[in-house]
Amino acid sequence: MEIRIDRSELLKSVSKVQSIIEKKSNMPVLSTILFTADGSTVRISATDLELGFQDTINAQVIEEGSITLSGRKIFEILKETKSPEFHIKEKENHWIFLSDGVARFNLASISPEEFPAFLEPEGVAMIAIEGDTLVNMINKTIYAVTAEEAGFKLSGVLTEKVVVDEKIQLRMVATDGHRLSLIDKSFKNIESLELSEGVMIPKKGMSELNKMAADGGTIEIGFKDKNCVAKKENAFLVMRLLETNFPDYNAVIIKNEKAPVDIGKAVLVEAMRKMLILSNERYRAVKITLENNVMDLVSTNPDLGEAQENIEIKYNGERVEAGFNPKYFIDTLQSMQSETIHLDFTDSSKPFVLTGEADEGFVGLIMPMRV
Amino acid sequence: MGPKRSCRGMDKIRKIIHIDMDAFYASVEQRDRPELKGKPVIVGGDPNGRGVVAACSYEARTFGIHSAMASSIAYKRCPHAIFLKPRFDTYKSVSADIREIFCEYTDLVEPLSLDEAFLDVTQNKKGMPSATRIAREILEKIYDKSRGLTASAGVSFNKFLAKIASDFNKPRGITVVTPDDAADFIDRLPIRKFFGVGKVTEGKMHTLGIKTGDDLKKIDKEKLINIFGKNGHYFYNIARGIDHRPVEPEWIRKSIGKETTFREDIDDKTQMLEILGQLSVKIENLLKIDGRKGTTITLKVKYFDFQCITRSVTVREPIVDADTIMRYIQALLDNTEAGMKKVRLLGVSVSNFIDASRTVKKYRQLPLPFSAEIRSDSLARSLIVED
Repeated sequence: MEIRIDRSELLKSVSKVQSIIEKKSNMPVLSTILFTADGSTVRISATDLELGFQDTINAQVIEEGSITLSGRKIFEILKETKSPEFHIKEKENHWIFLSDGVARFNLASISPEEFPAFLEPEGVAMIAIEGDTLVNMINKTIYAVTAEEAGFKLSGVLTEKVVVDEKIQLRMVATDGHRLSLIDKSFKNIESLELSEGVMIPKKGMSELNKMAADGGTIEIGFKDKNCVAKKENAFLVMRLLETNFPDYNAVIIKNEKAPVDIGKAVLVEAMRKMLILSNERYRAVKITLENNVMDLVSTNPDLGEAQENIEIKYNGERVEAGFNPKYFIDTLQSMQSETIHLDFTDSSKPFVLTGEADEGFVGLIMPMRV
Repeated sequence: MGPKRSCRGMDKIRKIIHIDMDAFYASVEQRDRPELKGKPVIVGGDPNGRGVVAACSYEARTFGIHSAMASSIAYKRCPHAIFLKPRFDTYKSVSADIREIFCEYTDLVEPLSLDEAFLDVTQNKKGMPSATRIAREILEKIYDKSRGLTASAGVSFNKFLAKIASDFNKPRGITVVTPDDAADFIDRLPIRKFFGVGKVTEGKMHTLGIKTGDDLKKIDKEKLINIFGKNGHYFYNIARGIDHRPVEPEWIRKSIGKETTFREDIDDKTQMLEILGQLSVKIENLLKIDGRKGTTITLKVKYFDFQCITRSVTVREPIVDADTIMRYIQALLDNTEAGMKKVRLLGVSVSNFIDASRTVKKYRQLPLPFSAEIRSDSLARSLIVED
């Protein structure tokens, strides 16, 4: 294979896959990028076996063929060079010659035959979604995905088609067992999305999908054979779905309205951040008390001291109090757009429910801590 | 094993006993199945498989069989041997009985496995001056309590010599190595008998011309350290009978309990509650002495027919006083057949002690109450019941 290619175009593609390629893997080929030159384009592929990404860019193809290159090294080289054009040429025994016209690199590489086969997105029924909608849905759920690794079956976002108020909606739900975030969105052509049952999209896949959708425009999405496929312009992303062992979340979403409170988001985030200063692994909880039109927040750390803040609210009901992890509040609040947040407090053993007018279809649940 | 502790033994001559059960697993099998007595019995892996011999009776040893040998080889050496699968639960329960005997004499008990332990009886609960006498009593008590199992004992002033001594006159032997005998004893000891000398080290020792303890003593320290690294230092010391390692009990009290066996079986519940109340008061005192708080209360009931049951409850608030204990005990007793059946023993215990470092961590994140039946996946379930 031999190509001449625009350096900045190549850099853009190569930097997109940096978060996919494996840094440490017992399969060295997973730390490489596959380059396939064909006609007048080069296809760039990377995978960690759970997730695959392909991008196609124009190039002057001198000789067709495939090579692999260390994903990290090619990225570093492209970053350091200023030349507009880049030359890549395959030599004997998988040696690869690279040059920006000034410096010359000879890099050893792995045979392209070792590169894992890729699911081609042909034949997948795709529907178009506004990138913004997708970003919104992902941002409102991804933080609640459990951070625990090691085969934890909740390490993804449950995505399913539901009917709410006689309208077909796409729903995403994530939980780590302590909190849960759910969002429903409806969009054009949703009825043609082939998604008969709920699927679990892994967290890493969601994060890549988020990046892909973040540049605006529309993104095409579809599901086939335990994979989720997303396509935007010349790039596509294939995500292997996780087993869906999601608990029945419907039962935990309560609508009680025992102590409903409306509160400014900015005020609450700021207060929670201050409370967080005194919390640590051991003393995580902030005590929230609602009484006489005041929300009282107290964070106690026997090693350091105490923090306290009162926020004026409209609340005349009976006194209620419970402990919470302020980090969970901050995560949820930050994902919301509403300026006023509606809190629904039941008691110290039931989840706090967060909703907001500007966050249509969203509900966030946070379980208390026993103080 | 800080230097402080090792120095403790240097103040005066210690009295260390090493107790080693004779062919433990195999003897338990022969005890429980008298038809196996006098026959080669091998406990361990399947002779057709890849397992090894865990223990073998003395009859089997005459065929050259020893523990850790592949079962298949043992089978070749003695095809008519009786091969048995180990019954660890039984061995554990016998071992626990034996440990109780040790604790009658000292709390400085360091179990090495189910069938051997070091005891430091320099100061013992019975104030007995003779360690040899203690060893003899222990062997007799083991024989009685375990219905005929035998053990051997080594008595000396450090762990190294006590352990070698227990092996010296097996089975059912007591070997005493006094500070006066030590040098002579070590000098004549084949190098293989030294603790820490396996086949490889033995080979090395032999090439150096070291066959006995006496030969070892003749090699200077630097040379030993050169050849054997830090073990060289150890070999240098033990050749001179020096071993300051203390007997280290790893034992941590996990429960506090009291029980009473009645002279005559009782069926009156009021009387039972009265007795349980007395036991609870005793436990309250013990908890206070130790400064402990438990969260699990267990009631033990042995019926007239020796059938023994336990009922327990784990509570959220730590238990410190007799009244609280009795509140739960009463409910637990109602959950037994006591009264309908005559009872010969009642016991109460408190366990699940709250670790002082954990009591401070009083904040606990509650899980979302997903209903458990919905998904069969065990991970999802573990998430739900997570603490």
